[in-house]
Amino acid sequence: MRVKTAGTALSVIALMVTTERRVIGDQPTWPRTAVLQFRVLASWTGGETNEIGTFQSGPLGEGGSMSASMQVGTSPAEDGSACRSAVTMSPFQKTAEGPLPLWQVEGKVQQAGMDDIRVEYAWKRQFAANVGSASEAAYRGTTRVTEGGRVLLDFVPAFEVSSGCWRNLALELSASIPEDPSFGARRIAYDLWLDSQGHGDRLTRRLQLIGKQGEKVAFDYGTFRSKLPVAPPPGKDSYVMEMTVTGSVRGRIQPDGSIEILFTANRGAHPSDGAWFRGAYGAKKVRAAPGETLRLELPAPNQVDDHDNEPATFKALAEQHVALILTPTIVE
Amino acid sequence: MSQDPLEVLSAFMDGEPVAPDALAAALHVPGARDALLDFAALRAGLAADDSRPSPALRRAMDGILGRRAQPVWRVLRGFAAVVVLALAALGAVSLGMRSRGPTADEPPRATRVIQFTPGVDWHEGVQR
Repeated sequence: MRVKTAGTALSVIALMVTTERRVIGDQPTWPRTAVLQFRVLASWTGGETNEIGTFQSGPLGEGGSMSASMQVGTSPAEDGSACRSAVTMSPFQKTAEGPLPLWQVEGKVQQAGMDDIRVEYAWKRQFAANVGSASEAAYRGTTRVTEGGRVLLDFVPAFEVSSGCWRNLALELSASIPEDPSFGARRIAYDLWLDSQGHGDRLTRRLQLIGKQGEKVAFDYGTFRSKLPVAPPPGKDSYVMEMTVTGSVRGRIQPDGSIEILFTANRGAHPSDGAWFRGAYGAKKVRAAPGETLRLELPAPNQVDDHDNEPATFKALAEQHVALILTPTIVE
Repeated sequence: MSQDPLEVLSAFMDGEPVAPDALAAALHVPGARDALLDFAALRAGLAADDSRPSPALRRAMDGILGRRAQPVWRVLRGFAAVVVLALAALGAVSLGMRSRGPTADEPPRATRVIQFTPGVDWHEGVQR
């Protein structure tokens, strides 16, 4: 085989290898769903805060909505404590009963993205007529929550002292992405490298992580030091910079076999004497084929006004290229 | 310096460039006809034998050429062949090392590079 022909063949093979594990486009084409949870919290007198009742919707597509009523009540305790809590929940409108609040809630999923769920919500607090001094209230709004994030919607102080149970009650909202039963038990392995190069030195560190489908897995590479080719501080032999890289990765196997990944990273830097600290963070959502290797370049810290007398330091930092190299695979 | 007439005839038989006057002089040398016939027989033998020259053929060549030292260009050609082979071997070793992939201390080669964009998805400060 002639050399030119061999080179062409190698190029074609290289192209095939390069494109073999690519996922075209980062936006899925299948419908997404989210689950909404409205939760009543209670702080016991002299005790801590607990959940006493949660109404959870079924999977709602984008544009899907739900409503519910949550009536808070108490009943005599049998174990010697002051009282027993009870939250009566229904998907239908109810009339308030007793001295404790009834919350009428509505929720609508606007967007069901990974770690980015946008919800339009409304709540109304009602009481039975002529009971207590608490007032009725209502609110309508929108919010953006992460998976596992919470939004406090309403707070009611301890108005029913006679109950002897609670100092206050609260209503909160959270949302989650329901897992596809086909993949719910699967796990994803993340081979994650830190690669720092600059000024003739290269440092690599490797972490091997495993997370369940949709589970957020944190990483922390600790502190790594490098000597910058700049004038050392007074009394020092060299200018040593300490850098940190932390973050998290959340992956979810998709119906087409690809893995949707939400990647967050934080890059910090400070001189070893701790004179200042500069940090930055970011998040990327990508889709990758299992086994595909992604390189995420982390921008260098920007110069800060307070340290304008160190332009050489930030120039040297900018020459320090830091990247995270991620290869996700599905654990068989 | 004049060339050996038999070498001139041998080069001519090999298809190499030969000065016409040197060839004319060589053809007048006694034994030139026999030498040409021997060379023709040699070529026929080489064509029939695609392996290595037989000892008889080697002896016949020694007799004809009188074991004279090889010309400088032949030595250079052999040396060049050795250099090419050595470079090829080095290339093969290098290719083999590359194809083995990264070492345990070296991250894998990425198929996709993703950049954060300051101000868009990369922000100054500490993540809340």
